[in-house]
Formats: sequence, C-alpha cells, structure tokens
Amino acid sequence: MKNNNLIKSLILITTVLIGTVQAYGYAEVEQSVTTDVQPSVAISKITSQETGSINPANGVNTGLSASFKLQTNGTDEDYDFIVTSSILSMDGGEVSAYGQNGCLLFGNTTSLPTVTAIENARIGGNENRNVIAYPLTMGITNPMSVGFTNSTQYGDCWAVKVNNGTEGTLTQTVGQTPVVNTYSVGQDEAGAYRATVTFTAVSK
Amino acid sequence: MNIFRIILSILVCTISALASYAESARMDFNITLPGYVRIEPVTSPVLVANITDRTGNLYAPMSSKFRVISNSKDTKTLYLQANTVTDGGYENAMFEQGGRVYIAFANLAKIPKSQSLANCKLGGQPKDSPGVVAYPVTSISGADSKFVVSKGKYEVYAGNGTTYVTVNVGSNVLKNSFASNDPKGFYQAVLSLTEADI
Amino acid sequence: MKITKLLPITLALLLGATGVYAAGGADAQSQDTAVYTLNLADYLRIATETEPNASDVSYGTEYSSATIDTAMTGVFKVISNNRTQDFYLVGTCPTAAGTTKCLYGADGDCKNLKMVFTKIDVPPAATAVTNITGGSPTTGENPDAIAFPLTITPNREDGPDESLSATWDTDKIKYTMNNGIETFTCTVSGSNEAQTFSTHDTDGQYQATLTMTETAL
Repeated sequence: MKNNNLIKSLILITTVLIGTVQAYGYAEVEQSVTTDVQPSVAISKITSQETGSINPANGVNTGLSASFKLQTNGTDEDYDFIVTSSILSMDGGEVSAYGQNGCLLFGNTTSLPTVTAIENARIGGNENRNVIAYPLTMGITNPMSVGFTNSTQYGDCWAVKVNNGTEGTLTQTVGQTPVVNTYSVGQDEAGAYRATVTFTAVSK
Repeated sequence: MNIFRIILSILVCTISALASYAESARMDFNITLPGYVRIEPVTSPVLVANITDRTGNLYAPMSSKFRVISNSKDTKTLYLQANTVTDGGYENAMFEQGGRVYIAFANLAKIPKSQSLANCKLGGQPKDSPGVVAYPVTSISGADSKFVVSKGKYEVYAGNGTTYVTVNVGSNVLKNSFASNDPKGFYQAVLSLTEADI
Repeated sequence: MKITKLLPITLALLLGATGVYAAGGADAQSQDTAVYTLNLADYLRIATETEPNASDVSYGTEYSSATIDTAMTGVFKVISNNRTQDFYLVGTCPTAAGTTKCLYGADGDCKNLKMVFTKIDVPPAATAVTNITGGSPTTGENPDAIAFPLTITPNREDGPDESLSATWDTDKIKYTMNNGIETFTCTVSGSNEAQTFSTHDTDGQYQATLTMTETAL
C-alpha cells in the first residue's frame, strides 16, 4: 500500500516534469522540483498567399503574404530570431533578396538576373533587368517586436525580439506596387519571379 | 437548360473572339494629285495668209498644231477660237456661213475697221469688208470638236493623256469676203486653244 | 490496470504529445519558409505613336514626274516583354478587289524600300499594283498607281542592347526583337519610282497604308 502511493507520486511528478512545455508555469504540486530546463522554440507558417501575378502594364501584383507562429520559452539571449531572404542570380548563386528599407526583390527564374542588376534594384535604381522590388511590411503581436537591420552575423535581415514573450504571430505582407524604377516593361521579361523568405530561430 | 445553352454559346463566341485577336496598329499615307492640263502650241498659232493675186486664193493651206496633256480621267472641254486685229482691237474672227466654219483674217499693213470684220462675219457683199478676208476651217484632227455658233468658237474634247490637235485651214478664199478693196499682201489671224471659256 | 503498466503508457503519450512542437529535441522545427512566386504575363503592345501628315504632289515639266511636297512621317511603337518577339510590317493600298500588298524593293536591312499608292475613289485593278511590285514596272500598265520611296528607321528606346533583325518575307518585313521598346519612323518622300507615273495616273486622292502587326497577314 505504501509502495503504491510512492509509485503514484512518482508518476505524478514525472508527468508534471515531462509535460512542462505544454503546461509550464502551472504548478500542480506544492513541492517544486528544481531542474535545468533547456530553451526550446517552434516556428511554423500558419497561413500564406505565396503565388500571384503581375500586371505587365504597370508591375502591380495581386498581393502576397504569410503568417508565422513563434512559440518559445527562450529569450532574446537564447536565440536570434531572424527573417532572411534569398534570390537566385545568374552569376552569384543565391544572394539576399532584401533591398532598401527591407523591401523584397523578386528575380526572373528563367532569365536569371545578374548580381549587378540585383545590387542596382537594392538601391532603387533603374538598371535592373529581370529584378522587381516590392515593399515588404512586417508586423508581430505584442510584446514581441520586429525591425529591419543589417547584422554583422546574418547580413540584411528582419530581426524579431521576443521581449520575454512566449508566443507571437509574425505577419509579412508584400506590397502590390513595385518600388519606383525597379519595374520596367522593357527591361523585365515575362515569366515567373521569385523571392524566398525564411524565419529562423538560431541558438546562441 | 435553354439559358445554359445560351450562356455556353456566348462563352464559346467570346473565347473564339479572344483567340483571334492580334495586336496591331496602322497608319494611312495620303497624297493629293492636283488636276493638270497643259496646252502648248507645237507649231505657231499665228496663221498668215499671203495674198499674191487677184483670186484671193492661197498657194497652200494653213494649219496649226497644239499639244494637250491632261491627267483627268474625264474628257476635258477646251475652247478653240481665232482672233484678228481691227481698229476695234483684238476681235473674235470665227464664224459660220452656209454650214461651214470660217476664220476672218485682217490686213497687217493697214488695219481694217471693226465694221469691216463684222460685215464679213455677217455675210455681206465682197466690197463690204475691205481689208478682211476669210478662209475655211477644213478640219480639226486629233480630237472630237463642235462649233458653237453662239460663241463663235469650237469646243474641243481632249481625253486623258497627250492629245495633238491640228487645225487645218483651206486655201480657197470665201468669195464674198474678197474684193478689189482687199489689197495683196499679208493677212493674219491668231488661233488659241484654252481650258477656260474666255 | 496496474500503475506500473500505466506509467510507461503515460510517458509514451506525453512524449508523443510534446513531439508536435520543439522540445529541444532532434525533430524540433525552428525554421519555416515562404517561397513567393509572381507570374509576369506576356505583354505586347503595338501602337501608332505619330500619324503621318498628308501631302500634295508637284509635277515635273509636262507631267514627267510627281514629287511629294511635304515628307510624310509616321511612327510606330512596339513594346514587348517577351525574350524574343516576332512582328511584321505590311503595306496595303486600295484596289478594285479590296486591298493589295504594296511594299517591294527592300534593301538588305529593310530600311529603304518602295510603296505603291493607289487612287481612292475608283481604285485600279490589282494588276496595276502587281505590275509595279513585280519589280519591272511599265508605264501605262499601272494606271492610278504610283510608287514612292519609303524609309524606315528603327530606334531602341528601352531594353537590353540586343539587335533588332529585319528580313524581307515575300511581301512584308519580318522583325524579331528582344524584350524592350522599339520605335519605327516611317517616311515617304521624294519623287516617283521610274515607270510608275504618267498621265494614266489621274488627279485625285491616293493612299497607301502601313500596318505593324503581331501576326503575318
């Protein structure tokens, strides 16, 4: 009988410990057990509109967006939460797809743009064949925050700070009107234009 | 069901129309060719009759040739007239008498009176037209023509292209235009072929 | 059921449940990606940017020649975003049968050629035009049809610096260009082509039409 009670307690304690991630901060026993809890994080895309079309008369697109859910028990000291991007070039492989103010560069997938064209589009020039830039807006639920930055470690990226929050939704929206000068019917060939955006939690 | 069929037909028609659309643009170039009639004498239009004897007849007939160039697709009506100089000035010298057309020639050495020309044209007596003698238009070749009595001139009908109009004047004098008061010497009339009915 | 059996089952269930999101383990998802793709549709626009002016004609002595008083200039503009784009320049003039192709005599790069004008009010038979476009015109056999010189000057306004190709395709010019914007300045000026003008070309309005088109008409 005494044995049974001990075993039951053990089961209960073990259950509480293993079930920490789902029910952390919710103590079911009065006796607290101190242990080293490793930080963990989950990022998943919850909704998105990832395909659309561009009106060749003016470069206006039909709208793109994506929402990501971020859950973590870690802090900004445990992780760098970053949103990076890539665009495929003809002569430089995959490079960052960010431009001024964090706008997003789309590259023609059959007639790949040169690195020179991509660099020109980054700064809003008009010598950027087969690259089109669109504004990118990012938002995240409180208390988390997000901002565009040039990081020495990651390069151009949108950096998220959890600010001790444990759950948030990051929403990104691609603007419909192209960044001035980056779309030209004479310079941008017909075809599919692509940009890839990745939300990553990097352990520090 | 009927409505469905109608809608389907409209869709098919629309799709067919869309499929046959091709991007294109055009520009029209327009030029205007103005009307062109050019009339010039090939031989002198001045007819000179040299009376050398008492018959009043000439040794040879006279003629005058004109070239007409027309770019009209229609037949152009031109006007052939003759003029001679009297004391009344430059006067019309063509007239019809007895079914024939004549041209009155005025003496060059002594300009006759205007009345003399008038009498000749009216068919007066030989002595009524001193210094004026008349010769017949024997033919007009190269184009159709018609003498308009009221105007005292020919209408000459020139077609598209180049037309040579030849006016032939006979050497036998009109009897009742010649008398002893018509001295030997040179008599003259001037032909003109014009587009305008002047 | 004994608790000793219940524990492993419970542990297994809990571990299974926590496997849905990261728990610092090997199957943790700390990254996700959105791949944005936008399709830029094919685009071709052909437009007449400038319409040519009309002109009178003056004649040489004794209707020996016809010269256009004021040079007539029109401009086409072609915009395409296709990597390669074919299009055609066709000339037509009114004839009794409707219209007849009227361009001929193009030089190697199709910048200098000849165009036949025909009378509008009562157009001539098509043979009047073909007598000229055949290359050996005979005065008198092409009534109410007159040929004049036509020059075409292409100009690249935008797009990569790749060359435009122009080839003579039976009775029209075939152009191939890379994506971009190209203008074509078309000018008719000067005096009639030999053997195409005479008094058979009667007074009135004459016309020739240039059409820039996507498909071979």
